[in-house]
Amino acid sequence: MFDRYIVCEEGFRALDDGRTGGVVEVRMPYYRGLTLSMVEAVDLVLDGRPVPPARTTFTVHGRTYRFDQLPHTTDDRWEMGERAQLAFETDEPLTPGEHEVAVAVRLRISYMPVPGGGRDTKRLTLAA
Amino acid sequence: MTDTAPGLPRLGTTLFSLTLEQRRPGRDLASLVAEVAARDLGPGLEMVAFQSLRGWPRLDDDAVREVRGVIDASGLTPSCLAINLDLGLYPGRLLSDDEAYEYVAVQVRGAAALGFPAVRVGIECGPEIMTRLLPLAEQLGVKVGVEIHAPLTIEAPPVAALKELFTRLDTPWLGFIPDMSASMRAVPDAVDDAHRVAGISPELTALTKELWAEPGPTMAKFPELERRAAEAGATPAQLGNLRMLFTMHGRMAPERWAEFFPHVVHVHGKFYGIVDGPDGLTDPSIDWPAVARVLREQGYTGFVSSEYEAHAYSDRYSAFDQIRSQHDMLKRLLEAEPAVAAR
Repeated sequence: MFDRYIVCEEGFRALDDGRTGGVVEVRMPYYRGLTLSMVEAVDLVLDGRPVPPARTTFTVHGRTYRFDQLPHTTDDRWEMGERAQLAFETDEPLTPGEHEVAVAVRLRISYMPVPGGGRDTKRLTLAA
Repeated sequence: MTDTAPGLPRLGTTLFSLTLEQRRPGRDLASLVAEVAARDLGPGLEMVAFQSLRGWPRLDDDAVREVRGVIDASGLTPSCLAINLDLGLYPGRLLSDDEAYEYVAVQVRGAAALGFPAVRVGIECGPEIMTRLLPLAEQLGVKVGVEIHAPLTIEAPPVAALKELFTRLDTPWLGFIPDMSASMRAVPDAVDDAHRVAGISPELTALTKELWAEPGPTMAKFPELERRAAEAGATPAQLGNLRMLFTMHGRMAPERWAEFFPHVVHVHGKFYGIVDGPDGLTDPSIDWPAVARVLREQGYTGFVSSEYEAHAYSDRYSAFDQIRSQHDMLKRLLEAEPAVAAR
């Protein structure tokens, strides 16, 4: 339902900590916030190439998590509409210009008859 | 706040209707609640705790004061707080009954602190947990209602089990929250927008709507839907959209809501679009004259929260304007229906 809101048009940028890679901002594809333990995956495919979850981190309101930490995180929440930062490492520096950014979110919502989550693909521009 | 005449169901709004509005940058709870009041879309005010209240259910005293202040300043009347039981909180297992009780109980206490007289839970909150919640509900003066949302119907075994429980306990503190998604007469047209975006052909959408409208239990129609969608070349994602039409929109006859009484603690006025018809405002997908008749006949004087949900399919319409239309329509229907006693 909220698939098209997942990938934010703004905020796509290169990492600024010396590593190669970037940050894409993402939003919850659900009508309410969920405890992080229920966020099963936020998978990124950049320009057609999947980025392994081990090379990504997830930041909400300034707190950064690895994806293998999320299943145990029951004291923090990704709120509806809140922009989370999905940071990812790449082998090569990102080139300025357009990139295809595809994000698939998997949510564990116990009472839904179908798997929760959604996917969204947008073409985002990395400033030079 | 404009109210319905005494002795009638009262109108209101759930902020869930304004889900897209809440996602806009710069929107906060105070401005949203103030706008609901300014547009006279009360007097009842409902919200989804995990949607509208940051940090829920651990609100400190300052946060509680702030939320209460927002509601007080608006002049609206808290009607119901929608809470959730996340049985799948931990990977690989469901919450135990003890954990589930605690997960809900802390939220019932939170609702009481905020001044809500009722909470909404889902059907996953079964008879065991509901029974355990009764002393707390009674002590806090907060009714606990299980929402009956599509694809549930009066016949669904978990619903029958709750009905048996509520009849046996005979308490005003536990009951049902009918949601009109369970008793629709047509799939709303707003889905056409979502299907267009998803690349689903108008023919396949029309076919799904026809299949939906045929008699028989919805669940039994899934195999045929899947077969015909596959024939039409639907992708798994597109099939997901089509299946959602079956699970989000139920076909129970609206008259059957009468069977949930007297155990009704709140009502969700779910709707997907009011249009101007030849005889005035009307809802193509929900038979509101029939619903209004049941509520009147049952002597229901609680709130009907307008719950606009077409935002899930389309952002073409103003939720505020849609609620205005629904209120105008409902007020006319409720006040025009002759009372049972007067017949």
